[in-house]
Amino acid sequence: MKTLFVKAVRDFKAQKWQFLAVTFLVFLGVALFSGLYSSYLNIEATYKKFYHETNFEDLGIEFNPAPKELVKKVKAISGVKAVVGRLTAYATMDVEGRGVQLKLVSIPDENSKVNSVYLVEGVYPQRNEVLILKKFADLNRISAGETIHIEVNGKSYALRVSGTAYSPEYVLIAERTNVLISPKDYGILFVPYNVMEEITGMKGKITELHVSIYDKDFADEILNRVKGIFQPYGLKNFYKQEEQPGYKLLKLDLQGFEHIAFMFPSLLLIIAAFAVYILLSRMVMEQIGIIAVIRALGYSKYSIILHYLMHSLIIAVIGTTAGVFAGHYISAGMTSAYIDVLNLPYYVTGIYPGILAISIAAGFVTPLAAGIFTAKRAAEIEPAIAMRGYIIAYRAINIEFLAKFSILTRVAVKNVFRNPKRTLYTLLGIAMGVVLIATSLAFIDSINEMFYVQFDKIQTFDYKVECSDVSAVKRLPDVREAYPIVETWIRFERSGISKSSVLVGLPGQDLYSIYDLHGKRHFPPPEGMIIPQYIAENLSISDGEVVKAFTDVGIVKFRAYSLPQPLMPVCYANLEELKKAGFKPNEVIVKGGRESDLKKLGRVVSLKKLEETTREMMGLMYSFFAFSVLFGASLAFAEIFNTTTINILERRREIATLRMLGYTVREIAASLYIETFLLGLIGLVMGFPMAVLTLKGFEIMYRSEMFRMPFVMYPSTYAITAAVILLTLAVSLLPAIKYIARMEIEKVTKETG
Amino acid sequence: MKTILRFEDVWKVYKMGKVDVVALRGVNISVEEGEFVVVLGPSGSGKTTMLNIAGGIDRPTKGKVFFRNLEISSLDESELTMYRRNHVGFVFQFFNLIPTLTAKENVMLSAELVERPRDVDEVLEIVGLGRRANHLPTEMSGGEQQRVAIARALVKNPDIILCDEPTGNLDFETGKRVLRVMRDINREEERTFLLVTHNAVIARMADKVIYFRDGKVVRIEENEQPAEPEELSW
Ligand SMILES: Nc1ncnc2c1ncn2[C@@H]1O[C@H](COP(=O)(O)OP(=O)(O)OP(=O)(O)O)[C@@H](O)[C@H]1O
Ligand SMILES: [Mg+2]
Repeated sequence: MKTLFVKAVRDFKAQKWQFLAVTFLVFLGVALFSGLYSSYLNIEATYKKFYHETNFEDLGIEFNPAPKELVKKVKAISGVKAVVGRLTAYATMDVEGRGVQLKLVSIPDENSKVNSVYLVEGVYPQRNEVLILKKFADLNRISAGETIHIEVNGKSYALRVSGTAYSPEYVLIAERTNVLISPKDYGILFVPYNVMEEITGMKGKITELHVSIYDKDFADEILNRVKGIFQPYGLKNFYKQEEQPGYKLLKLDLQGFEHIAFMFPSLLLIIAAFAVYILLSRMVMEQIGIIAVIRALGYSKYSIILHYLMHSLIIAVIGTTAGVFAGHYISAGMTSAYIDVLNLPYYVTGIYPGILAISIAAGFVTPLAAGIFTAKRAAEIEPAIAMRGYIIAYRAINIEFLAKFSILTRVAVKNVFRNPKRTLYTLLGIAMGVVLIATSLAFIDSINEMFYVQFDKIQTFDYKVECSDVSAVKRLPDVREAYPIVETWIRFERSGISKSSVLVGLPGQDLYSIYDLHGKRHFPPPEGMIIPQYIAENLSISDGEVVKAFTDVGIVKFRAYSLPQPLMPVCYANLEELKKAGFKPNEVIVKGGRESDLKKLGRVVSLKKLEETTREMMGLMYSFFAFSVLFGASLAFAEIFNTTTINILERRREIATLRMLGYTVREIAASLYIETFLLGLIGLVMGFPMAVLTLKGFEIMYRSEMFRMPFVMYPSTYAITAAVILLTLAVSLLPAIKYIARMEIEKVTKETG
Repeated sequence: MKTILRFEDVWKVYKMGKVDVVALRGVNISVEEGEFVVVLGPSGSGKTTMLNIAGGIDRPTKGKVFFRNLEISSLDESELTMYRRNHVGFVFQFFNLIPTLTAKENVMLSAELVERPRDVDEVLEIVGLGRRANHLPTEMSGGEQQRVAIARALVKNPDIILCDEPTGNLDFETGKRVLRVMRDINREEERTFLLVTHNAVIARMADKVIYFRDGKVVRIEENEQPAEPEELSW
């Protein structure tokens, strides 16, 4: 047994690059799974801890100004733990000549038991002081003690920053009509209530209420009672914890991360399993004679199985051990990188025995499962037959139509068909390479497509201004086109499920268009509205059905038509229809014009800036994809290199014979090139549909209610992939040909096997 | 003298699609303990087939094969493995060393199978390869490789050593050296040898010669005065 182990180690060394390549795959699969999944759990544990420490709200409700005293009424509801009523306002501020958005929130008492502010530096604000969201402060280099000048509805206020803080509500900043918010361009100020009264001019009033309760099971009941209290003032919005915009966005984001943490390593391990299978099968094929001898010496079938599993075990042990260690560092790095984009003061890390166990199990099962088939096949080899030297039953084939080609072309083509199993392995190897390169490139294509769809098809205007006076906009210099639109919130409720979305009312124009997933343009129906597919599915709304929805103007009824939309799905309706229902245009979309002029009319969103911000925010994702392209390409290279060189080395005796017969190296090389390119072409034809399917898989797994990535593969990707694959094939033949040129014919024929 | 190996009306038929190839047609032979037996016959006469059956890596289609009192033709797969492990030493027609293992490791691979193997270094010394122990097969000549194969068979202390054309791929001088080693072991340690060849000259050194033709034993000769390997020439 000991010497068989030595043999296994030597086998490993004899094909060390091939073995290391598959070991690397196992390593990556284990490292990424344990690393990414642990960091997912770390982040989850972190926000749970933070939410707990800061008494994150269970319920929230927004309404038109109502007396502050109503808070007491809510507090009196049984099951309510703590309540805070508050005022909010929007403001702008200039930082180094750049306009940034601010949301002002009245700060709860220092010892409030709901949505407590987590003070990082400085002290709680008094009189004209404010706390500022830490990350925003850092990014804009604002520090405690400084005085900032903000502008609300044209009036200017000077406020002293008493400190920086975090808040459970703003771990991720999300507004109902905008989820892509750059932490640098959007800040939160926590302002004493009396200052807010003054700024908003709403003395003794509140516009929102946040509640924590003792038992989550009573959330619906309590929410209904709270709603009852504020109904007379006009409800604007309400939610339970899981619908709170920041929390919901965080959850969706984490869900996506969890999917990646699971799917990406799984994909790697599947490829690893294939690679191990191919590598070991070829090895067994090469060692049939050796196996026969070992059996003849008196080794049992069982020892043969163990011996070939030993190869898998070596891969497993090295790959898994290294993977688990690397996973530890990946977890630490990934957790801190992820937390870095969240508004959280700290992070917790843990070691998760379950994840560790799964990682180790996956790291062992993958190569062992792939190895067991080959090991069993090896054990079934009949020593008496194998001993006679003829190992592989070559298939006799006759391809008449090839008669007019040269003898070496015929040899090349015949080689492809002669050993179907070997050919299949090679083809699988190439196809796998195609999948890796094509899908990696398609990720980049998809990001580009996303920007193209959002900024060249859906929204082609330059600015969006919060302003209801379209003629005022039209009068500004350089404004070429301007249209009023409605952009507001809408909420559907049906049999206990409620889904909120954004409602956009559009006039006939070409600056803001509706597209479906397939790039087909749609128009708002003359009556009724287009709703996102996920809402239709979740609430089982069929096309043309009349549904009720809550909006700013109360409950509205309309016919709903579901549409699968790319990117962020919203509801669309005809502006005139909405006007009839009581909505008023609240924004103007503009082509041309200048931001400085528009700013005077209201809050301005510059599409160009938005695109820049979005690209910036996707920086992390970009580098992830860039990494995966590089990785995919190198993996594919290694894979194909492997397959091709083994394919040739496997036949060295046959090639030695050809050389002895008098064929020149050049002739043999030509034959190998023809054979390899033929395989390459078939591999490409097999690989592309597999790549498209893989991409489809990614599409499904990335899909969420708030976002749907348009996964595409541009023609350039097909071309680049094909070029890379063929080039790789050409390069992989070089060492084999060099080998043939230097081949010592007698040494090859002397080898056993 | 006791009989160590006995074939009783052994037949071997290979089915090749519709055609039956009859490799052995009713073979009867017996080999005594400590004998040096040479099996002679033209190519395709069934020698290797007979040897494989004797060594328990193949089974007869019909007939019985006995090792001492054990009927090996009725053993199952794992019993046959144990039979090979504990009683048989093989030297194959092709050297069949494991190319990634050194000479010594090739021998150890075999030694590890039995409870009381011979000393590996000593066995390598016997076949005259003490100094080449750590060389890989590709670094050795054909004769040296064949001697490693003999050492590999010997190290298990087998009761019978089966050799298929052990000199077939060797030049004359090297072949004789290999035969010398075998004969010495046969005499000094009283190991039984069953050696298959189509080289008639080798028959002169045997205690007993079995002639094969068309899957049948056509003649058996006892040599009163076997020649020494050095006296042979071909
Ligand atoms: N697996 C097999 N399938 C079909 N026929 C076989 C098989 N093995 C051997 N034979 C046939 O059985 C006969 C005996 O073969 P065997 O190898 O025993 O001959 P041999 O005497 O060892 O010949 P050589 O001196 O050439 O080695 C031959 O005709 C051979 O073709
Ligand atoms: Mg033979």
